[in-house]
Order: sequence, then structure tokens, then C-alpha cells
Amino acid sequence: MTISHAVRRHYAERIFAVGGRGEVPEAFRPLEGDATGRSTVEGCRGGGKNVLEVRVRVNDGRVEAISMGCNLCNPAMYVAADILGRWARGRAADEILALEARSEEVLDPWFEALRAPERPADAAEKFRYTLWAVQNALRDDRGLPARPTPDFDPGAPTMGADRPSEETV
Amino acid sequence: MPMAADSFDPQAVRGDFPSLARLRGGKPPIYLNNTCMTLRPRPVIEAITAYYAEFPTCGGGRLDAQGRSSNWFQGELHEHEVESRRLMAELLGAASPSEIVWTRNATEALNIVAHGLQLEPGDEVVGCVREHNSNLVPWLEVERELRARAGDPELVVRRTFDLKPDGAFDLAQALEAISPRTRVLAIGHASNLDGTRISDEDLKTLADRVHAVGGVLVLDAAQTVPHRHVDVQALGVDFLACSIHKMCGPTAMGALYGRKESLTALRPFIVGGDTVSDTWLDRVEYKLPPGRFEAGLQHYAGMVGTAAAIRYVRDHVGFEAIEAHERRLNRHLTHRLLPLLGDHLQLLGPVDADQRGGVLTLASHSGALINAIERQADRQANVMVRVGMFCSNAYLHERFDTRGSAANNLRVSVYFYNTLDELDVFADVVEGVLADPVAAMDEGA
Ligand SMILES: Cc1ncc(COP(=O)(O)O)c(C=O)c1O
Repeated sequence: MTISHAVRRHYAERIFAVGGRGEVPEAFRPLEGDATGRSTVEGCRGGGKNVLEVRVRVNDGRVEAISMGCNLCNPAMYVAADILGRWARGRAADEILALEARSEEVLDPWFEALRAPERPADAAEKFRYTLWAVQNALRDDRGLPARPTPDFDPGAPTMGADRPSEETV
Repeated sequence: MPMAADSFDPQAVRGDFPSLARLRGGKPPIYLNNTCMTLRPRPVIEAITAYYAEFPTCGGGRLDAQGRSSNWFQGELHEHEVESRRLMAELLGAASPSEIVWTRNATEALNIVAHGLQLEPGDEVVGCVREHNSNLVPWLEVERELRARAGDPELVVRRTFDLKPDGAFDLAQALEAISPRTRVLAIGHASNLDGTRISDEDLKTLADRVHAVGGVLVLDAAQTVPHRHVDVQALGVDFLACSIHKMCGPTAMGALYGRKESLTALRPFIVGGDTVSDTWLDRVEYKLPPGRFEAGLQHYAGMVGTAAAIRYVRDHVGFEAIEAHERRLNRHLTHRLLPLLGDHLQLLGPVDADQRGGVLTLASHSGALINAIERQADRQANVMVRVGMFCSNAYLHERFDTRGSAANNLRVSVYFYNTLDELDVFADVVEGVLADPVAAMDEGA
């Protein structure tokens, strides 16, 4: 998948340009204080190198702090992690856990943050992976096991249909 | 006769490596992942093939009173087995071939030691913060077992010492970590992450100190045995682990050296056929080392190939030429890359190339940038490097999580067949990517 214009723009302006020696964009800075939940998601079909790590600290039912670690991620994954990192901060854990990662509407606020009404496919896929990872981190905070990651690749024939059905939180 | 160090020319050996004669898109391979595994020269390939073509049988057959094997093929294999073990012992400066145990790799060798030492609660294992997972995980398992036995989840078994800020070994901190409780000092001789190495002098000091408290020195020499002369007796090493596939030898072939008394005191880890001299329904009598540690039928082609690899690396090329050439290569690459480093790309380990053997690792806050360099190197110029954490997760997490991810690293590692021109090709790729990094990330993303 080639990188969409919107992803390239966001990555160049909001992530790469503000990163540098000892400088890391806000969403990717280490969590200040301890995490109460953690998760990892492989965002590449076939177990590639795109591995996103999420650490959260939940306080009083809300995401007090969140930190993303992008292990050899591609720009779309960085962009999704950046946008969802900002979006999740301060939000109620229940609200995030109730979202359905495969739905179309779930992507609306993030495409808006990306300034991408054309809803590019590369961003959509990584938004879903990132949400999944955030939800697993919140499950971890509650002592629940992580749910196995579905295949969100738009080119994949069975969008997660081969995965076990999810339990509700 | 080994080749002269000051005038060594890799062109004199490149013709021996069939994989270097391949072409993709009209261009040859540029193989810069030698820390992981090296290429193989024709004599090694032929030796491996000879086993399968000429005497493809099992070893370990009974010998007659004159030490002769009972049949034709086994007799030929036996001669090769004896010779390869003798060569391995000679390579490491062991007192006897019976101090050499064949393993699949350095990892297995380290497991044999960790599980064989039969440590007790209260015993301590010292290592540095940057041990390769193969020299960390087996000890963490030992720690887990001892904690369970002692019923104390906080029991300290593994003690770590830090390095200098630039990643170089720090003798003072290492010595400080050794106490009367230390039973084992298990350390990497050279780092596969940044190439830094413990000097012979420091290693001898460490050996003396650990022996003085009644412990043993376990050396993970996976990254030194292929590149320089390592003498276990001169250095005071009790156990040494290395991988033959990192020195032009067969894949999945490694060796464990153990000083005779130390090896004899180890409890065999993987046991079964070929490890015993006799069994009864309720008891077993183990062979003397090394036999008791080599369970089941073995990688005989690997042993035959190992002898060829030692002859090629040590006798044909020679460690002086290897060290000198790697230094020349790393100085050149460092010189080319230093001006390109900046906000987005940094060097791991000391800036001085001479302290990093044949390794140069680049780190970034951006995994996308690292990916782009790796991909462009491969697609444009057939350059093969490695990205990731290089089995140094713990250290990278500890030190570098502040840059957003510990995994965003790319490593170049050279061997004697690499050329300055090859490194220029890689440096050109890096330069090209840095000229417009975000555009480069587009390529095949
Ligand atoms: C320092 C070090 N120790 C141990 C190992 C493990 O070697 P192997 O995978 O051959 O067992 C490696 C391999 O990269 C290494 O670099």
C-alpha cells in the first residue's frame, strides 16, 4: 500500500519534523509514572515488523496518561498512534472499550484529526489496529486478557472473520 | 599460510564464496549481516557435501582395541570427527579435544552451562546490562527455578553491572558486582549490538577475581571467536560458547568449551542416546565429557564442515588479516556516515570505530526511517543489513525507550570478504534517504 497524501503530510509535519535527538513527539514519550495497563499489537499482516506498544495509566475510570511505542512502524502506524494517543487522553475507559474497531463510524473523529475527508485506506487500517491495542491495554488495566488481533488489512479476504468472536467487556 | 594483515585484499577470497557471484537485477549481493551469520566459502560447502555424498552415516560407533571403527563409512566419519574436534580445541587453545562439546549454536552451549551448574539459592550470577538474550534468558530461568525452590520471589540470583555511558565495558563496575556469593560471571566477550569488546587484560582481571571467590567465568564468545584469536587458557576462561555459523561454518553448528574439571562437574542437560556408557532399568552411567553432553545423533556434516571452516578462516585468511581489514572497513564506514548523522539518526556505541570491531549500528526515533533505509538498501543495491533489537531487548529498553521505541535500529556488520566499495554503496543509500526521508518512506511501504 502506498502512503496516502494525508498520512505523509501528518507524519512529516507532526511527527518526523518534531522528532530528533532526544526529542520525541508527545504521544511517543515514555509514560510519566507507572502504567496500569499495557499491550502490544502487530500491525503488519503476516507478523511483520510493525509492532505498536501501548502503555496507559487509568485513574478514576479515565485515561490519565497514554504512551505509544512504535517499533519499526511505517508512517501510517505512527500517524494512527499519534492521533489516537491525543484522542484517548482524558477519555473514559468504558467509552473506549465500547467502540467497535471494525465499524466505519468509529473512524470519523480520527479522519477529522487527520484532515482527510477522503478516508485513506492506509490510515483506516492502522487506526483500527491502534484502537485494538488501546483497548487491550485498557483490558490489561482491568486484569482482563488481551483479545487476539484480527486482520484489519483491507486487502485481506476475510476481515477478521477467522478470529474467535469477541467477548464483551 | 595466513594472508598478510597490512596488504590483505578481499578480492583474493571473494571468488571462494559462490553466493557472492549471484546477481539480482544485474547487481551482486552486498552482505552486511555477518554478526548474525556469515557466508560460506566453497571448501566448507564441499566438506559438508562430502559427508552426505561419501560417508552419510551415524557417528559414535564402537571402536576396536586399536581405536578403529567397525565399518567403512563409520571409520571415515570417525576420522573427520576426531580431526574437527582437535581443530576446534586448537582454535580455542583448549588443553584437550575432550574439552570441546558440539552444540547447535552458542545458545545451546550457554544453556548446557546454566542448567548444568546446579546452582543453589544464595548463589549469584553476574552479567552486564547488555547481555545477548542467549546469555540472559537461561540465567533468568535459573533464577526463576531458584526462587521457586527458596519460596522467595525476591531472591536475587542474577546481578547486573552497568557499562560506560557510550556502551564500552567498564572494569570497575564489573569488579564491584563480584562478591563472595558469585558462583558465575557470565559475560559477552564482544557485543553484537555495538561491537564493543572486553580487552584481554580486563578479562584476565575478571577471571582472577571470579576464581578468587570460587566462581567460574562463562564467556559468550559468539562475536569474538570468528574475528580474533581467543585463547581460553591464557584468558582464564572456564566455559566458552561460540557459533560456527558466524565463522563461515555450517548452519546450526556451535561449540562449548569447558575446562576439564568444570565440564566434569556439570550435570548433563539434554540426555538420552549417545550420552551414556550404560543403562539399567533404574539407573544410568554417563559417558565422560564431552560425550555425555552430546545427546542423540549429531550434526556430522556440521562437524566435517567445521574443520573446513577453521582451516579457511584461521589458516587461509588468518585472524590478523581479519582484524585489520574489519578495522579498515569500519573506519571507512564511520567516516562516511558520521557527517550524515544528526537529529534523526545516531550511532550506538563509541564514535571511535576501532572500539566497535566490525559493527556499526544506527539508531533513530523513527522506525519508518530505519525501515526506509533497510528497504532502499535492499531494493536499490542488494545490500542486506539487519534491523530490530538484535536480542538486546533488555538493554535497549533500559537505555533507549526514551526515543519512542527501543527497536528502531539498523546494524551493519562486516567480515573479511566485504569491501570498501560495498560500504560506499550503503552509505550512498543512507545519504539518499536522508535527502528526502519522508519520500523515501513511500517506497513499497
Ligand atoms: C553475543 C552473542 N551471543 C550469543 C548469540 C547466539 O548465537 P546463536 O544464535 O548462534 O546461538 C549471538 C548471536 O547473534 C551473539 O551475537
